[in-house]
Formats: sequence, structure tokens, C-alpha cells
Amino acid sequence: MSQYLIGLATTGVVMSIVALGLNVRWGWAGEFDIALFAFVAIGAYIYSVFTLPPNTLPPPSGYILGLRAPFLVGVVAAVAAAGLVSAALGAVALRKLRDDYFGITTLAFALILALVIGQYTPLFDGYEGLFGMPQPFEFVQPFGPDGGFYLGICIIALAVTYLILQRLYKSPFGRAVRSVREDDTASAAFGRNVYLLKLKAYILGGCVAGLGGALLAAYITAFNPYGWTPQETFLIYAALFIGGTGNAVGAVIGTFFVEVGVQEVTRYVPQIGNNASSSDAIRLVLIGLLITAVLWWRPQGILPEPRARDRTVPFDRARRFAALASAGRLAPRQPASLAPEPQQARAVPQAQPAPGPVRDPAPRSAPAPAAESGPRARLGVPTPERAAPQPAALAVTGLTKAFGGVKAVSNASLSVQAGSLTGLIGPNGAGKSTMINLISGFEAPDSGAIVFAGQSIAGESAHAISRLGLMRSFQTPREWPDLTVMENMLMATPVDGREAIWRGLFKARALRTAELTDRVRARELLDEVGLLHLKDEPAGHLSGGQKRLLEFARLAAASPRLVLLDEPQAGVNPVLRERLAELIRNMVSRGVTVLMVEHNLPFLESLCDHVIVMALGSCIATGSMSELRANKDVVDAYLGQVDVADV
Amino acid sequence: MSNFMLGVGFGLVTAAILALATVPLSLQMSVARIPNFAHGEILTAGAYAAYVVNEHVENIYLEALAAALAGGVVAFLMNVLLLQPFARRKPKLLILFVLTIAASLMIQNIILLFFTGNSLAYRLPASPPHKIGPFLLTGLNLFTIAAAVVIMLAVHVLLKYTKFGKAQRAVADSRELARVTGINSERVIRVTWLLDGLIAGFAGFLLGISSGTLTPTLGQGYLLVIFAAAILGGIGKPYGAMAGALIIGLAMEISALYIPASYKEVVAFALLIFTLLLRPNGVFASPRAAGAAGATA
Repeated sequence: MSQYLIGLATTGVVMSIVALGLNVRWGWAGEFDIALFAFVAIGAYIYSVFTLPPNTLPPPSGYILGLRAPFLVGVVAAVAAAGLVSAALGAVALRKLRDDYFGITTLAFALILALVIGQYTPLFDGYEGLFGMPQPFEFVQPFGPDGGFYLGICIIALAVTYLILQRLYKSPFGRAVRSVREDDTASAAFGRNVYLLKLKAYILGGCVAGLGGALLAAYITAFNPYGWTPQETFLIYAALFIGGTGNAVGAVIGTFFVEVGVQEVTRYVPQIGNNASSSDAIRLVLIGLLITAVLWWRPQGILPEPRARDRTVPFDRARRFAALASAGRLAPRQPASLAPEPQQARAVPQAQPAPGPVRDPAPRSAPAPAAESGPRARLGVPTPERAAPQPAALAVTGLTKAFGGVKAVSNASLSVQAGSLTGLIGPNGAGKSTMINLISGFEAPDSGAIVFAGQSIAGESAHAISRLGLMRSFQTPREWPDLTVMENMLMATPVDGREAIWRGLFKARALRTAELTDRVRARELLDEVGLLHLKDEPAGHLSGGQKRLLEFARLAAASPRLVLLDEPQAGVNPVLRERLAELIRNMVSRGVTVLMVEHNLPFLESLCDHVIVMALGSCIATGSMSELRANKDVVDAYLGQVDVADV
Repeated sequence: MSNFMLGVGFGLVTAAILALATVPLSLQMSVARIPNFAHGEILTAGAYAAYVVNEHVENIYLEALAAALAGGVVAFLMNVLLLQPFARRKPKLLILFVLTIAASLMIQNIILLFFTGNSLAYRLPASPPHKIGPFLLTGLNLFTIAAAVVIMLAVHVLLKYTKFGKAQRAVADSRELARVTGINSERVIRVTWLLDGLIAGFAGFLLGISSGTLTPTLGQGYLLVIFAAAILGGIGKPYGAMAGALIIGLAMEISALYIPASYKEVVAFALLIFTLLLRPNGVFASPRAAGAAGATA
């Protein structure tokens, strides 16, 4: 291979690593980060000052450290530094900014960093920058400084990064991060700490970018602030859009296309007049056109994001194995830890946990499904508690919430009995939706108390409340559109620890095994609502009614203790209405407390024996519908607005 | 003290340019709702158009006219050819943001292609500084401030008293409701972009005068300062944008008296970050309302 080609390949490989970092931030988590190249720069600078000899430059030039550390130490330090700075920036900027403002904030951060590093020379020698960084393993390089040896190191780094990220992408962590990209409100409603997930993805992406920076600095052996303008970040975005956002292979293809292909092609464009920048200019115009064209004709890019297929054992085979297992035929060797536990009352009577992978029924990989806790505890993978939900009561006292001058909820009190199905009605603007938002933690109350299952939850975060077993639905179903129906179901159950990054990395197989139970159960719930045949479709492709059914299936999978239903009938046809009524009744008969906001009073009356009426932010009456009809306040505030004969 | 007042004087000039660059961005972001990354390039286009005129005739009014027209054409075409077709597909906000980044790359590099990356400069009449009250200002400085005041008043009249201004506010409030009341919101948005470009192009000319040299990254280098002023004043509030421009302009120039002048952009960027984190709807919005806007589940 000629040196020229080796050089091109090295650039492409190093930039591919950088692109994989952006793919975590933008492709997985949907974070519009414009500071990416600042983290490449941090990696490059830290690698440089770790590996360079001590500073001997005359002031005002100079640089810190100068440790003459070996290559690997420099790389590790670079990755750590980029991760630390990502954590600091992410911790501040990811809190509650709108997507575009987040982008602007990161850009401002990158520009401040560039200005400070450029101006403050004792740090990294200002605009002069650092140079003369040692190439790794110079003493063994057989082909000179531009030889293929360093390319080999970079390819190994790319391969390792790729494998690690693919493993994480497929892990429950990756799924949770993608859910945040799709709809973070829904993720919070199902118990995910959105902020923490975004932050983890941001740090992970920063570490990868830092690795790319270290390799870049070691390759070009010089680095200064002109090498990391925002434009560099945009080129990586272009690579992702063209290659396929969210697809790691696409990111690499896109990077080679943009950073190597377009670059090389436009090098041969003859210089126009005396304009030394003409080929650069043409290249960037071309890239702008390419971004536009891709977004218009093929927004998913060359290689679309891979869709997770539900590839566990087929449905009836899974059941058969479950039956065999409970009959002891597949019982593995460890009898003590694998003793079958008594079957618990389940929503779906046949819900038997699944066996391990069918191809390999060896004891190690086929934990007896009937005994979940044993082998999984051994494998270090948490399993959800499978106890039937205990219904829980809810009591709200003196709750107040104002938006500006409008008191949406004002000194409202209500109570919901454990195991009951209670309705919440009121005219538009009565504060019902705000009440639901306050109870579920999506809004913080100004004052008042909310007690759920004996715990005070007023002002707690939405995900914490959800994890206590108090869950909610939304007026319009909030599915995660680009996650498959099955992934939507699997996301319904947050299991502590399963979404830990280290488990995703080191316990991938055990996690898959642990999830089999959830998959079988999810299939049964999907079968129940008639969506099983769509399990591998993106949930966004479902019809409105199907999304509503999926929402109920998700709620069933989550095993909540209390559910707040926000107008489950909104936009639903009469046939489906009956089906939903049945699903709500099933939910209650399983021992779930339900508080339901609904405008369809006949529907409500057919289901609820107890109804709470809100008006002007307060709860004005409770009782059965017939009692409420006799209550003059209620009739004045609400029922008077509709034709009484209908009610 | 007199040094301080000199800083205030420079701050007023910076604020005047900044206001002219910020008000159209703020208007556009409230009506068309696109965080426009190519806004800096509209300024650059205006500055270079004025340069072309300046090569032939030295007439500051013709130059200003050329700058405004160039800015208007660039902004109008960017909307009609690029953003509006995409907007009809109702994409995510960030996709539109990305498109403006692509537009920024294209416009900036087309300018680079035609004018090279070399620094260019206007031929300007000698403009010695005059002592006006405590300030030391050149004739061009005074022209800048006067132009800003006149255009801001014109924008005020346009928004407050014309049918178009009302339509614009209606579209900013709710595109659906505006449509129901018979307002052609696409047309309103097209005109808004044109207006945005006219003012921003002119601002680019003033920026070119004040910075002395033109490069293809002239406007982009100023973009975040403009965003800082727009967000500080609250997006969609033209008077807020003027106030934001004043605050940022003064903060930058006065800080330059105490810390190295090369850090004055850092001051603007830091103000931007703090505003976004603490008062994302601008310093003139109540924090309560800001929370409500962000929390509709």
C-alpha cells in the first residue's frame, strides 16, 4: 500500500471513531450536540501533554504537564478527560433545555473553550498549538512514521469501539437511551430517569470522541485551535446523515464518504483563478447539498437504523419448554438454587417464563425458567419482582398549582380507595389534566399533599413516582415510534440495574436470558390485545386504535399498583370503546386501582361506581353518578352543560 | 470615568448593529419558528454586496441598499427553495435546524468561492471622531446609531399599526388559528423572511464597516452574539431583542475595559448560556411562565 492510501485510510478510521461518538449522542440519544469537536480537541490536547516531554518553551508560550507518558497512558487520560468535561457540560446543559437551545449552548461552550485555549498560552500554547507528539511504538514501527503500523492500531481501536458500542446499543441501556430520543415524557412515565440516561449517553459519546482526538493527535503529531472549528462537527453530522443516523456501520461508511471521498474528489478540482480556497469551498458547498438531498430523499440515510427483531424462541415452543422445565425435564444441575417457586397469580394465566436459548439446552445456558431468581441472581442480572400488584390508595389534600395568574388547581382534595375504579370528571378547564400531571409528578405542586400507598409523593420526580407503582396514560398515546412494538413492551418494565452500562457490556448473554421471561409475557399480552403479529413493527406505524391498545398492553406489562388514565376514550371508535372498557375492567380485577379522567359520561357510568367532580380547580363533589345527578352544585357546574337526558 | 464612558459609547454602536441583526432573527424565530443557523450568512451576503457596489461607486446609501437587497434575496430564497418545502412535511424542529446549517455551509462557501478567503475592506471616507457629550464617535458611528433608531421605529410601526404586523403576530401565536381566520400563513412567513433578510443584510454592511475587514466568516463569527441578544430579550419580542442587544453590546464593550478585549465574546457567550439555563424565555419573561411552557406533557 502506498503511503498516500495509508494516510487516507488512517484519517478515515480515526474520523470514524469520532463519528461513532456522535452517533451515540445524536443517533441514540437524539442530543443535538454541536460541541463534539471540542471533545475531540480535549482528547487531542490531553494526549499531547501527557506524551510530550516537559515544557521548555520560553514564556509566554508553554504547556502544562509534559509527562512523557507512554501511548496507552496518554490515550486513557484523553478518554477520561473528555468524559469528565462531558459530564460537567452535560450535567448543566441537559437539565431542561429545549433541543435547539441545547445545541446552541453546546456551541457556545465549544467557542468559549476555543477562545480560552487560544488566548491562554500557558495551557496548550494558545493558537500556536502543540506539535511534535511522539508516534506510538516508534521503536517497532517497521514502515517509518507513516507506515501501516499506526493504521493497524487505529483499526483495532475502531473495531474495539464498534464492538463495545454495538453491545451497548443492543443492551437494555441502549434501548432506554433510544426511548428517550423517541419520547422522553413516555420514558419518564415508565420509570426512567431521563436526565441520567441522557447524561450517560453524552459522557459515553464524549469518551469516544476523546479517543478519536488522542489518535488524531498522535497521527498528525500537531494540534491547534484551528483544527476544531464548529465546521468539523458539521462534517461529522453530514457523515451520519448520509451513512444513516443510528447505524454504526452507516456512520463509518458516511465518514469515509465525507471525510475521505468528497475530500479527495474535490482535491482534483482545478483551482479557480487565484482563489487558493476554491476546492475547499466547492467541497463544502457539495456537502451542504448532500445533507439537503439526503434529508429530502432518504432521511434515514444509506443504512437505516437497525430494527431490533424479537428473535426468542417461537411462541408455542417457548411455552412447551416452559412446561418441560416446570415438569423437571430440563432441570439443571443446581437443585437447591433452582427449586421452582410457587406460581404466582398472573395477569395472563399461561404466563410461564421462557427457557434459555433452545439451541443449547446445557444447564449453564438454560436456567430453569420456573425458578427465575436462582440462576439470574447467580448471573448477576436483576429480575423484576413478580409479585402480583397490591392495590394502593391515593389521597390528595389541599393541592394547589398556579400557572402565572391562573390557578389551574386550587386547594383540591380527593381520595381514591385501594382497588377501586374511580372516575374524575369536570368541564373543560376544571384542572383534571393538571391534577393528573401533579399526581404523576410531571408538574410540581405549589402546595398541598399527595399520599400514595402511605408515602408522600408531592413534588417527587415523575420517574420516581412511576417506580413506586403509580403510572399514567396520556390523552394521545405516547408510544416510542421508532422502537418496535416488542421493544415498547420491554421498556414498560423498568428493572433496577438491568440498564446499567457495565451489565450491558459484561453480562450481555445473561441479560438476554433474563429478558426471555419478559418477552414471553409481552407476547402474551400483545396476543391478548391482538397486536402480536405486529411485534416487530415500529410502534409509530400502528393506527391510532392500535396505539391505544399497545398503551394498555404496556401498562399491563408494567404491573402498576395504581393507574391514572387520562381520557382513554379520546379519539376511539365505538367498537374499540367496548374493548377498552373490558381492558379497564380486567385491570381492576387484577388488583390495580384506577383513577380515570373521562368526558364520555355513559361510558364512565358503566364502569365506575365512584366519581369525583372537579370544577374551577377544586373537587366539588364525589359519589355515584346517580347521586351526582341529584347534586345541584354538580349540575350547575358541569352536567348542566350537557343534555341531561344523555347522562 | 471617561474611559468608562468611552466604553459605553462603543457599546452603543455595537448595540445598534446588534439590534439590527437581532430583531429580524427574533421576529423570524417567532413567526417561522426556525432557529436559523444561517442568519450570520445573511449578514455576510449583505456585507459583500455592499463591497461590490463600493468597488464601483463610493456612496454609502447605495451600498446600504445593495446590502439590504442581497440579504433579502438570500433569506427569501433560502425559505422558498429550502425551508418551506421541508416545513410542509412537518419535520422535527431539529431537522430544520440542520437544514439551516447546511444552508450556512453553502452560502458561506459560495461567497468564499467568488471572493476568496482574503480580507477585503471598504473604501470609506475619512471619518474622524467627534466628541459628543462624554462619547467619542465617528460620523459612521453616528450613521449606524441613527439608522438603527430609524429602522427600529419602522419595525415598531409595522408590527403595531399595519395589517401585516397583525397577521404576523397571529401566525406567531398559532398557525392553525391564523389559517382559520383566513390568513395565508405561508405568505406571511415568506414576507417575514424577506423582511428578515432586508434588515439583516443592512446590519451586515454596518458590521463590515465596524470590523474594518470582510471575510466569508464575518457573519458566522457574530452569530452566537446575535443569538445571545435574541434569547436574552426573549424570542419573538422585538423590543426585548432591542433591549437584549443593548445589554449584550454594552456588556461586551465595557468588559473590554477590564479584561483583555479578545475575551469580550466570551462575555456574550457566557450571558447566553446563563440566560438559557436560568431564563430560557428571556430575562423579561416571568420564570413561572417559562416553566409552564416547558412542562406541557
